[in-house]
Amino acid sequence: MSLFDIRIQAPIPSLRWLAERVWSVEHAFERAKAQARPEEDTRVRIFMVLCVFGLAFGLLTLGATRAALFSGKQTVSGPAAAAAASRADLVDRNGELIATNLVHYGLYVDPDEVWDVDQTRQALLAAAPQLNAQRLQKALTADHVSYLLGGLTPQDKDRIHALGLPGISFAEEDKRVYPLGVSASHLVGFVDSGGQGIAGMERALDATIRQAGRSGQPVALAIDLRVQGALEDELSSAIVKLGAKGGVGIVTDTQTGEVLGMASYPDFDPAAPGRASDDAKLNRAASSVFEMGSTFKVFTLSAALDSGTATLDSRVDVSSLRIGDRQIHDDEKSNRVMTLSEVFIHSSNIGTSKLALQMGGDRLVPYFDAFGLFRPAPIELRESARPLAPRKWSETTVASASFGHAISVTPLQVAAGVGAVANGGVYVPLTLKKRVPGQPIVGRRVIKPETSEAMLGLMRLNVMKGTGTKANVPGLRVGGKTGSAEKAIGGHYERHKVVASFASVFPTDGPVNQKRYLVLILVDEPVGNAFSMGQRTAAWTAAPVAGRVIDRIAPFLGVRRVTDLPNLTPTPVPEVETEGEQ
Amino acid sequence: MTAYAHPFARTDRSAFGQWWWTVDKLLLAGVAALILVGVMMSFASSPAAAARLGVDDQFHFTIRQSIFAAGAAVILIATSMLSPRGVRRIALAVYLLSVLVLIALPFVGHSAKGAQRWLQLGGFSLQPSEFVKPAVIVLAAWMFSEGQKGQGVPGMSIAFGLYGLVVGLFLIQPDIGQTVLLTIAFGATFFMAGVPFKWILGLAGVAIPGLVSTYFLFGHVAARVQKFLSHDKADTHQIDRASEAIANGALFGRGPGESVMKNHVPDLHTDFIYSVGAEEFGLVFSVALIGVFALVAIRGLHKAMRLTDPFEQVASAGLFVLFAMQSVINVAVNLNLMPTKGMTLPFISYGGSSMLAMGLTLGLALALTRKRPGAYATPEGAAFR
Repeated sequence: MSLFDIRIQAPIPSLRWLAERVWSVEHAFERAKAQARPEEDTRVRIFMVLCVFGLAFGLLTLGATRAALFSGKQTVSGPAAAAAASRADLVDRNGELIATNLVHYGLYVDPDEVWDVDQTRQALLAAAPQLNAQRLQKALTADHVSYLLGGLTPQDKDRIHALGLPGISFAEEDKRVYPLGVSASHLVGFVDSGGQGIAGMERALDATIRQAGRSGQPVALAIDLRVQGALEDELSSAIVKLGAKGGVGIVTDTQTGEVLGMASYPDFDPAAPGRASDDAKLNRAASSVFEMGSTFKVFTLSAALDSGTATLDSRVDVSSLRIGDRQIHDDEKSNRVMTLSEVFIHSSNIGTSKLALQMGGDRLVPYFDAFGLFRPAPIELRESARPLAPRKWSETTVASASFGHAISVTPLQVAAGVGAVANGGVYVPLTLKKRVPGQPIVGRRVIKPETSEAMLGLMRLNVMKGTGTKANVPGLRVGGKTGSAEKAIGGHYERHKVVASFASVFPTDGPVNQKRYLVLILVDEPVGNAFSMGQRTAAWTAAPVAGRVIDRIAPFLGVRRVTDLPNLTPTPVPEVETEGEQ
Repeated sequence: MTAYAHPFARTDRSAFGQWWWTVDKLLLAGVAALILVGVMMSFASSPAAAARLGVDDQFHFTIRQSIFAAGAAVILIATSMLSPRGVRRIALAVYLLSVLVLIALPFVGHSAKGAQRWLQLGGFSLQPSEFVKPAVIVLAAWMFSEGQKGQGVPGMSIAFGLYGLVVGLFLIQPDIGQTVLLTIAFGATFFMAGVPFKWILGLAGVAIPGLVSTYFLFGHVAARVQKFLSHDKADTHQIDRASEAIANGALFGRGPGESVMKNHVPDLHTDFIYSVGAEEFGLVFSVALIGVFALVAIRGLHKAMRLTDPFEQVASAGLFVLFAMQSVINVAVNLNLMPTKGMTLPFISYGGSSMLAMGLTLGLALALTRKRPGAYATPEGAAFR
């Protein structure tokens, strides 16, 4: 029985109709072959194809000849002519230079005009030792103009020019220069040799930078180089001292969403990106996702307060919590009933989980969404990465997420979310471009202004009495929340690999529309050493860095110190940090 | 009589000896020349490409090109030893494997230059769409010939199904260049297998609206065609540099390593390698290069023409069409006779997947055109020219 019969017996009429059509076509194809003398037919057809290609190759030969000899484009295309459209300068918010294009020179030799080949060769080699001697010799004896060397600085050019050699000429070339070296390298990014933006703002704003370059205007970024400098200095020295793998620092203006500083370690030199490893080029602020740990309690408690599930005076029994067969742990076990404030400053996982479960996933998850935790941080950088969020929100997931586990986000997402908690409750997209004064800021309300004020109070309390005391700076009313998450590696949490973070805000007092700044510090895998009193937790690693950064940048941002009232002097509580699901 | 010992005598019955005496030497020489020119050209293009991409080792691309060239040579020789039955088996295996990978690609692939078409394997990325093309051609030719035997195999439907599946997967990526190339080669195969001429008119009625809708549906294709048609000064950086380079090369070229254009064109070592060659070695070189491509294509089609078995005829001719089409399109793009399409020049452009896949394509074609008892209508070297 052939396939033909099987097809015809197809059960559904339309299928049968289709099968019949298919077979009538198949038979026509078969007949056509059988009727034409089979061998000859295919032969003739292959011969036709052969002729078509013969013709095509013939035309290509003619085309090649025309393009090579008769196109009339016989211009010597020097690098200057071919260099990509000039890019605009990048400056910081105060107009300080970050990136610019400098004219360099290309060196050409025209052998027809050279008087003395030996003398020219020796003089050139002495003046420009980087020249390849063999290549130079060839160029000097060739019968056409040759390009010898590019990237000469004006000094190099003058030195060679002063030799007074006939037949030597220069052409201008464009070169992108980063006078600050490694500073803000991830934020600024870099370009390829053709002037195409490859990473960071050079890539994100490529079109804008070219356009501005044509009109000679600089492009102003949001960052403040003084803030950036202090942030990089404190972060890098802490990373070295703590023996950490890497780190992130972000400073933002919570009302405008402008990023005033952004640092990621390890870093690289944008003038020589080819020499840096991919790891060094990774912008950890935008592209790396982390389980943030207790820093997330800021979001959970905001949601609990804002939804009316709890008030600052609500009480929670933190003695134990079991969901299904899973036990939630607090590191500092405590068999008592805590107020909401105590849950926050003692960073109780049990307390936070209970509040979250009381709210239920139905109410908590929309808040997380509104804080931007499920989407890449809204910012110009193309590197801004997608978070890893759970798809289903079971009770266990809700509990874990309430203290920053089971969900991995980028530091930029945290900065944007905590910014919304701090600025009166409006989620403002982050930006690396300087905002034009007076331009309306489009944000969306996430929590009520009262909730924002309550959270600022809690964060301040945490720095005075809780895990954040090492971030306190006299007179600057710093508030913040620590997070020390053990890394999940191969399905279980690794005790010795901790991501320590501190999300801080200053000043925390004053009216709700007071200018407030956010400083987020993240230290990736610090080792507990003498510098951190043997601790890995954020209270000892990330929080002190945030404090020192705030101390240094407050004057630049115009935040005034006030005299601390004596009863507001911080009093540390015992170390209660460390999360992770044991 | 002098005692002359050839490395392997005609009577040598070892696999290699048999291969050597049955494979077409002229085709083999043509392909070998192309591979060597490819390695040579990578010496010219690698330092510039390395500098552009910020790779420290100047000869990064030369070293890799040499590895790919060796790999392609091995694949070429190994597959050209196959029997026609072996050719069908390999084609089927390659087809199944490539389709599996193409299906998995949206989940595991890594995306380069706006399209997800690469599979990362160790330090190299493989592009399965390159390998599936020769497999489709061989299987289609096989199915056409089975269908024509009238033994109840719905050959034409199967062939179109195999083709349709692959084109669907290409369009998901989206990879319009490969789609067009495969469609032309498949169409040519169908034509050579003996499609009635009146159908061709009908097919044209389908293909033309298809191309038009491609133009409107896929933004980047429309942009490229428009750029080509409008000759807009602002956005034709690559092709302008290529035209200047070819003009600068004139008759004898600027000399080895002297190309200026290569410092300014992205993809100089892949899609625009022809222009680099034309600038450094001039028209003499370009014409010789086109000549070698023409030699392999025409000689191959001529040999295919004279085979007796319909499958072998159509399959080998289809494979040579694939090779010829790709070279014609790439050179035409470089000469600004066609819109830029992101297609490589067989064996010359830098790229592991295209190099290895071309080795496979011509290996299979060489296997089918080998001398076998009864394979050719007339004895090799005799009449029918």
